Amino acid sequence: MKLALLVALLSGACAAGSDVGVTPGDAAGSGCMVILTFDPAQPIAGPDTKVRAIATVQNVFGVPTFNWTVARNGTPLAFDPAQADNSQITFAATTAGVVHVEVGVGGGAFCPNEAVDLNVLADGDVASYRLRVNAPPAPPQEHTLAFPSGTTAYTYGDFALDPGIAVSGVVRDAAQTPVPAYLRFVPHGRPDAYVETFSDPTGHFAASVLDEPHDVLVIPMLAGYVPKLVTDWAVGTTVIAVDAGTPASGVVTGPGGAGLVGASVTLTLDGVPSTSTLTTAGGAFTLAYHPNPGAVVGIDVLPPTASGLPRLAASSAALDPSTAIAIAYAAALAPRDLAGVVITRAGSPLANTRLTVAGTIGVAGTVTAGGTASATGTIRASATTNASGVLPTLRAANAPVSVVVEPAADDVAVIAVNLASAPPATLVAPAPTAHASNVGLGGVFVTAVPSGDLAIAGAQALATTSATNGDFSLKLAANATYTLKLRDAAGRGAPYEAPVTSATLPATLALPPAVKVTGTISETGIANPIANAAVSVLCKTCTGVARTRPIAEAASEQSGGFTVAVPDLP
Amino acid sequence: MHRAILATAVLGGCFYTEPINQRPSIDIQRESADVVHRGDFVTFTAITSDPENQTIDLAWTAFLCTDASADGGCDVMPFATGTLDKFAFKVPPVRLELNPAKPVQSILVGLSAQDAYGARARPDQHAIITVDNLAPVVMLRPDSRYGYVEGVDLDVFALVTDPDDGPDRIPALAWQVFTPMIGDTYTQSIEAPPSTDQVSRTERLTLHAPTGPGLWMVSATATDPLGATDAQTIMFDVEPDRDPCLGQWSPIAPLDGVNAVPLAARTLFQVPIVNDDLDVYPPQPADHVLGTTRFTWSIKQPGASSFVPLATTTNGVELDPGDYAANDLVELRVQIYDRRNVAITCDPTLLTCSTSSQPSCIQRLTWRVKVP
Repeated sequence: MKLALLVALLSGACAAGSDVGVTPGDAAGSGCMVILTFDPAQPIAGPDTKVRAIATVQNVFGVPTFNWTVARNGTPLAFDPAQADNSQITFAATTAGVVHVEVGVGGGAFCPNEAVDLNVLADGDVASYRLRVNAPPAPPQEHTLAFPSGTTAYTYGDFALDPGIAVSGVVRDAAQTPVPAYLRFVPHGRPDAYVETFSDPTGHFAASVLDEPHDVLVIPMLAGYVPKLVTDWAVGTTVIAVDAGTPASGVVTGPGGAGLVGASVTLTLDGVPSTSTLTTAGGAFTLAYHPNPGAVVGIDVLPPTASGLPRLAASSAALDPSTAIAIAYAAALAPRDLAGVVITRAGSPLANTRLTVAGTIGVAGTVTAGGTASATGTIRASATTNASGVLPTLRAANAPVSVVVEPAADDVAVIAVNLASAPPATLVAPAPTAHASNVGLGGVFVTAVPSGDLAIAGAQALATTSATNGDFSLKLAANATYTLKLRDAAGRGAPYEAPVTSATLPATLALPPAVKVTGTISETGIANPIANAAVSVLCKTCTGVARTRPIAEAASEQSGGFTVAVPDLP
Repeated sequence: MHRAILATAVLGGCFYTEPINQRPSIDIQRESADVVHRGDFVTFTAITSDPENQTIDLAWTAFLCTDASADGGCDVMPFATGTLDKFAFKVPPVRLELNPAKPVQSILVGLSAQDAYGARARPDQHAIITVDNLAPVVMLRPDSRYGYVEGVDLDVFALVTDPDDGPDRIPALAWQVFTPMIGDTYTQSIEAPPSTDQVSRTERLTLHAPTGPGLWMVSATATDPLGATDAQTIMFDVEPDRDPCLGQWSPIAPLDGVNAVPLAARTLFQVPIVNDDLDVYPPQPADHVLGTTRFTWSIKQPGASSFVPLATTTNGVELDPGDYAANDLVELRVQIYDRRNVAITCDPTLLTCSTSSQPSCIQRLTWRVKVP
């Protein structure tokens, strides 16, 4: 608590511990009030740190204009407009120290200047997260949550939620043909706080978004149109145009150099998908994409199941889809057939049991399109044994793999097999055994999420809750890896995650020290508390789906208050 | 000659004798209100008069009585004495010489006096003060941060105030519970900690697992040692356990049966908020009553005709487009349950389902997911 107070003081008189770095100005007689807030409220200096300053004006007549000054030690700093009406700006915070931010409100408004000395913290032992609030109909919003390491409680303060602005428009092509589509409005600088909607069969859409520039991902629901990213879409732009895109063509060849027929091919350019297609005779394919020069091009090839080949994935900025695309499986690949292999357990065949061959290959092929990129391979092939436990035809690449056997929902066995040589006549599936551990607290949610080959095989997570004395057990499969997750809803400890196997599950575990973060959710400029908002604490440095997995969750109370327990250091 | 002088003196009235000392007179004047209760301060003033204006020594006594006019109706020993003009005391709650104790119902006050020569005022003065009884006061307050929901323990707090009966004599409460219907069930426990402020006491009646929606009535009656009573009654509406409602979900779920959310990257399908009276998500920390939502997930794989349950019981499931081919259509379904585990019986083909009387409160959601 003392530390929190110290930080609050260090943060500047006006920006302590809260997103609201405020000294509301109230001009004598005018009633106009200017409030300055910052995101993040406590920025941490770094080469990529951007601070957003937000001016909120109340009791103003006319259309206000905003004149900003940002300076460090009297030296002006550069800043960029971040809102159409210039009520928000962003500036870099690369070094620690006090940044003086001042805004004057003009345009017929008799408002006082508002100034805040914002303390940019030095990078160091600082825990930093994304704090996400979703309270429809307001668009989802994220701010940075940062606090000094070593504290046990941290008061975030008020999360002022922008109610957003209602927008509507139409998706259509150049011939005015309406197009139903999936739309994702991605606000600039906050790529995770996007808003989703669909346009209806008449092409019309409606959404509530932040009043600032967005990029819009459009994925048409009609054949003949190509997904695209509309950059710098501005609120008020009512027409989103789609088209048939640009054709790309190429060939997929198998390990022997022959064209591979029936493979599904998809491109992505900086994550925006192309249309997808199946290869035809000679392995030829043609698809359509929306050009994006300089984008990282991803190529995904899903071969026909009967081929026994792995799925290919390549990604490189060197690839140019405007040139002929050559996708070639590695010549060394020679799928094995597991037909006739008997799956047993304890000497008895496992009848009518589903199994999946799963694995990865570092280099399973190459992609050439202007430049060249190697492609990784993912093996995933499934089959079900017959009444005698015998496998039908099941082809998989000649590589070390895991055979994941699932006799029942809570019974998974993993058998390591090297298909570089012929498979054995019999594969023995060991029975999973319950592995006990103790987390020291009762009521802790325990989840073991498959990783590695087990995840590729699509195995489901195991979940349980610790007993009053902290005991829990999980039926972990041998030869498999999991991510063990511990969550305590009571906030007695922070969430815990660690990779484990059946051999490495510790007999005792302890939740890491939790930092109890409290705050409130209110509507910007009104201070009305917002109840039942979803509050999530998310990883700041993660990528992919990990960015969307909450580290801690809460729902705001009637008072707008929320409490979450997060690890001291993410 | 001598006889002549004596005769002259007697006849002339000039004999000297010592003056005769007269008794002082006294009276009791009551300064305080006419109505007195136990615990009140009572003040008396001695009205004195001495013909010789001598100093008067006073002696006050006060005896606790149940009936000051009856034999044995008062303690033998005074509980207060005084020698000043003013005589004040606080009326104790009970007589001191009786076991078991009985409330003080009157006080006998006596005043005697004598002057400097020992002449005692006649008669001694007495005053009888009637001590009125204050009835106890009961206040009731039901308490539940969860509303009043069937099956959830609820508390009724009673504050009993009776300032004139003294510490540890605040009367116990007689509780009565009336259920909405015959056959409604509950059990009860009563917690009655000792008073902490000597004039009031709190009791808590806990109704365990009340079943039966409707108006429940609880009354509490306090009766003090002299038979004065106060009774209060409260009513509260116990509601059935509500159905849980999906509050928020992500990503967007088109429910027109035509559109599908594109699966361009590995995506977490999640339910961040479930609204319910008792079994919410996210779970409330350290709450002994509130539970959490139970999630079940199922998936209809491309080309499949039915949903297959997933083992996941958390609030989210991840789907990877790498597990599917382009243009595959997958349907991912989540259903939620509270502690009652009400079956969700809608047609399996329906993307959503509501078991509630409010159709907007849904317990089933189905994402139609398409790999671009």
